Amino acid sequence: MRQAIRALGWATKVFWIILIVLVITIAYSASLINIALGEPQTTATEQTVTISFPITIRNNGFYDIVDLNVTTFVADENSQTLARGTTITTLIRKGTEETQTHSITINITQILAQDVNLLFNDTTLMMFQQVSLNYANVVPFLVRANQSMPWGAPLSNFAVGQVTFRPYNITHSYADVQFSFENHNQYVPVTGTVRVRIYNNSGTRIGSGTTSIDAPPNTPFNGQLSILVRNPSAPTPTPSGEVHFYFDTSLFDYGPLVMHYG
Amino acid sequence: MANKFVRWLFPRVLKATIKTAIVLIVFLVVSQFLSPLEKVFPGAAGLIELYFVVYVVFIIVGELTKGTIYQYVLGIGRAFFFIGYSVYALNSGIITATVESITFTVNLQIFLMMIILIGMLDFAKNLMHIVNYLANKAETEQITVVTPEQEIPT
Repeated sequence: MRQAIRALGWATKVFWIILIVLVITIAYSASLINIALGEPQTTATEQTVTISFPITIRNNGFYDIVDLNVTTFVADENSQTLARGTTITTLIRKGTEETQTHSITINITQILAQDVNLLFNDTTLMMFQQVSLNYANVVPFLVRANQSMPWGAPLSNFAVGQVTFRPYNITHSYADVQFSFENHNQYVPVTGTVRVRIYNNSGTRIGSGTTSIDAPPNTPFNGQLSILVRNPSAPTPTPSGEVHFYFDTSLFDYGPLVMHYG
Repeated sequence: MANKFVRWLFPRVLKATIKTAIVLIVFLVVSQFLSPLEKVFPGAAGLIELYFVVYVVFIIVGELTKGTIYQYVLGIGRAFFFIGYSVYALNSGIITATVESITFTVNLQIFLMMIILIGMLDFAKNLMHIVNYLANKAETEQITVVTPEQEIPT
């Protein structure tokens, strides 16, 4: 009996020592890890925006870092995921340094296809960042952070002016359509064409035309389009009706955007 | 009789006082770090204070019951308190802290398992101490009762 009690006493002491040594060495070792985040680089193409930054981890501790996973995702205000980027490093051995470039590519075309409101309304997107790792194969660790990211609508404040008709000659007249918008997006230009169809108040198309648009980031755009309407064959223009806009840009195809005039 | 009781009590009270003083000094050192810790882990300071209070109670009662079966009963209670406290304080092994908009989560279940194992070993040790104590006591009583009857008449 006494020997069993002594054995249990020793086992308790040994486990205490293991626990204390493990806690102290892991805590001290973790404090020796240096993590450096490089300057974020933003690269914009016609359809995508890529945000990338280098992560350098110098593992000066006593234990390996296993399964390092850096994930970033962008979500709209309804928490719908719009873009996601993941960087995985399976092993960073003790005493070594590892540099990885973490990047997230936001496909503007895809985002706009998912949520049309982003075309016209400025909003705030949420960027969630998550870093998970397993330290010393014993302590899984997770860090989560989120930050807001302003989203500028490419067709913000889209408006159509009064459609005016002026005679061109006996057979034709012009329908002048004025429209304007502001490209609030800070990364991508709105470049392409707009097809415009004019309908009278009985819903009959009275003419159509196409014009090009070019609005660099953070700039307003004012467009004017004169559509030739053939008088004898054309339905009668009315002082009120609808204008349908069809956008064909490098970023997105959208239409019809129905605006009323008159 | 009173003298004997004082002689029995005095060293125990003295020992308990010295041990409590040492624990209080440790607590005073630890308490320096409680307010920054409280910002990261709300409620941690209260938990640590509770641990010190219970620890001091165990020291005092442990000293007063030394040499009796209650010492080991107290040991079992201490083992269970230690396990329960660890499970509660470590939030079942998943610790989460939030600093501004950054949330840290660390999984300490391996450590919790080790703590539970240590607690169970402590429990088993105290249980065996009780069995041993009762066995020794029964043996002593048997010897005390049996010996005079087995005495060879002269």
